[in-house]
Amino acid sequence: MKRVQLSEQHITYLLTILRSSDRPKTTAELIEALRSQ
Amino acid sequence: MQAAQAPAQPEFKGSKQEQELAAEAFNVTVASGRFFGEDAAISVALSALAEFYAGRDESKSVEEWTSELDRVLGASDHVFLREERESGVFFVTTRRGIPPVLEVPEDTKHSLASRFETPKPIPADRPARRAPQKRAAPQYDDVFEPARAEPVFADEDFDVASIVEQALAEMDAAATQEQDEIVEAEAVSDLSEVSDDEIRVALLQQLATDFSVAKFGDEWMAEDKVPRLSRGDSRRIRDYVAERGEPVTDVAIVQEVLGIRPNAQEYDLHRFAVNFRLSRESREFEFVGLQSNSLWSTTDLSLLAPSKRRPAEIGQDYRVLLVDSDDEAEAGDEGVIEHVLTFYEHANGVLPYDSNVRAVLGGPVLPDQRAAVLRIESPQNHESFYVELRFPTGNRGGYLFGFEEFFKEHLVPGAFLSLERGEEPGVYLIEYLPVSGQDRKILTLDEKKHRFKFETATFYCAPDEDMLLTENRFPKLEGATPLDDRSRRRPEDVLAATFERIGELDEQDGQRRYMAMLDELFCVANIERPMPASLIRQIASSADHPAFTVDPEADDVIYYEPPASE
Repeated sequence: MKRVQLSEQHITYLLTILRSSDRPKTTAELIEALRSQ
Repeated sequence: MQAAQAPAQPEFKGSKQEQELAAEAFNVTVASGRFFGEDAAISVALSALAEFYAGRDESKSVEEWTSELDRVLGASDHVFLREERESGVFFVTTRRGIPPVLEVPEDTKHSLASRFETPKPIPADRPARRAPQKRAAPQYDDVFEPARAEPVFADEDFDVASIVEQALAEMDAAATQEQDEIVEAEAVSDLSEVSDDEIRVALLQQLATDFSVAKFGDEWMAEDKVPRLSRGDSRRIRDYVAERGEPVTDVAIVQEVLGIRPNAQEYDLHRFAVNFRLSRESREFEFVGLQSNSLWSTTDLSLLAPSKRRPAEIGQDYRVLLVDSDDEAEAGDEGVIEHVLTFYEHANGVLPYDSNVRAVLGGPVLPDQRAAVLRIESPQNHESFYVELRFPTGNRGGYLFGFEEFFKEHLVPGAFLSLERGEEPGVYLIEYLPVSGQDRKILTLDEKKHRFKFETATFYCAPDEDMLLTENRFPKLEGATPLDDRSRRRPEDVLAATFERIGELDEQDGQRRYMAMLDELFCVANIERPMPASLIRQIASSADHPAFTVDPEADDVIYYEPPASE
């Protein structure tokens, strides 16, 4: 398994998702959100 | 008022005429720098001097004066310094009549500014980047010695300096590894080629370290959106745990203490908030749950009676498990742990947290989680009790403890048992194969006399005959004394003692040699400490322990030749 680093855009997008959500998100949901970005 | 000091009048070389010419040129030069300091360099162009003289005495041309002055002034090199510059020849002197001292460049090699600006050279012996290694057979070399991080103060060879050096070396190695890992991370913009596991690791590395993000277990939220617990909330949760006298779930806290119904819109949010906020109050609360079951205890709640052996010692004994902690799980298809109880496990009421157990129970939920509490139910005996899972730490292996009474009541060393997940989260079922009662003389430890002895026991569980410590198989164990702690900590010493206890002695020409089968050694060595069969095999085949050898024709036959001095 190689080590990857998410881009600033990825992180910003995830933070936006978390801030706009009223419930906790699972890791799987975050991964799905990144893939469907 | 201070008068200007008259310039010195040096003596010049050459004929009288030349001396007069040089003295005049000197005066002209010094006059142009009359306000200079005594040692300050005063320079004059040879061409300017030549033009000055040619203007005054037209009998010679400028070129002739240039040649004449160059020769005369050059001869008095104790007064003039001749310099050839891009713009022509210059003569330099001072008001004291001596050549100026050339300016010595300031040594800035060790100045603070240069040290900041100059990068540190790459050391010649920079450690090579660690290449990913394929897993080989478990290596137990590091378990042959007692842990360095746990110095035994009674040891005469206890050396603080070596421990400090070791710690520093480990810190350096960790820093280097961390640096290498950072370098190795590959920035990606397109995630189509990246696996979910790789993204999961990247999230842990990048998002979990962001202070604006709250993470607990597998869940994430913006930190400022997570409700806070008031002091009153914390106190009521603490009282609730004390009142129940056992760890409580996050669900119970949310519903019973905070009074939030499961169908409330913000129920998940508050459940996350309880977990996340309590995880920050590590002085008062301790997370003792697993992935499927968030369980909270208070730091002053003691659930289990203390065992005979201290938890740290048991963890140290299970250090041997650390070497194969990355092995593939071998648990059954349905997540059932099948195990044969050893004497050590029976005596201490413990089970190893090896790869099989980990496959069923899972790992720690929080990075710094110390322990988890599991409820064990025995459907055969209608019993229920708590056990604690101690996760592995730096130099201690993981294990479950709290089975002591159950084992003593229902099982014997060598018994088959199984452990599997129950229907409720955090509940596990323990089962054994019941048989009609058997009366056998099996090994026990007489704690008063501190000796092993065989006693008749009646038991109703099916044993693995190869693991049953009966008098018929191992008569020499009768009256044997348990090893002292120092020997017990060293697996090779335990193995040597095991050979002497049960091995078949062959003596030729005064040379003694013991022979024993691997399964016998495994069975008996485990009366002293956890000794996996793979560890015994590793010691026997290791060049570091030449006293032990494996029969080249039969893998399971092992020999031990005691040192001649014994």
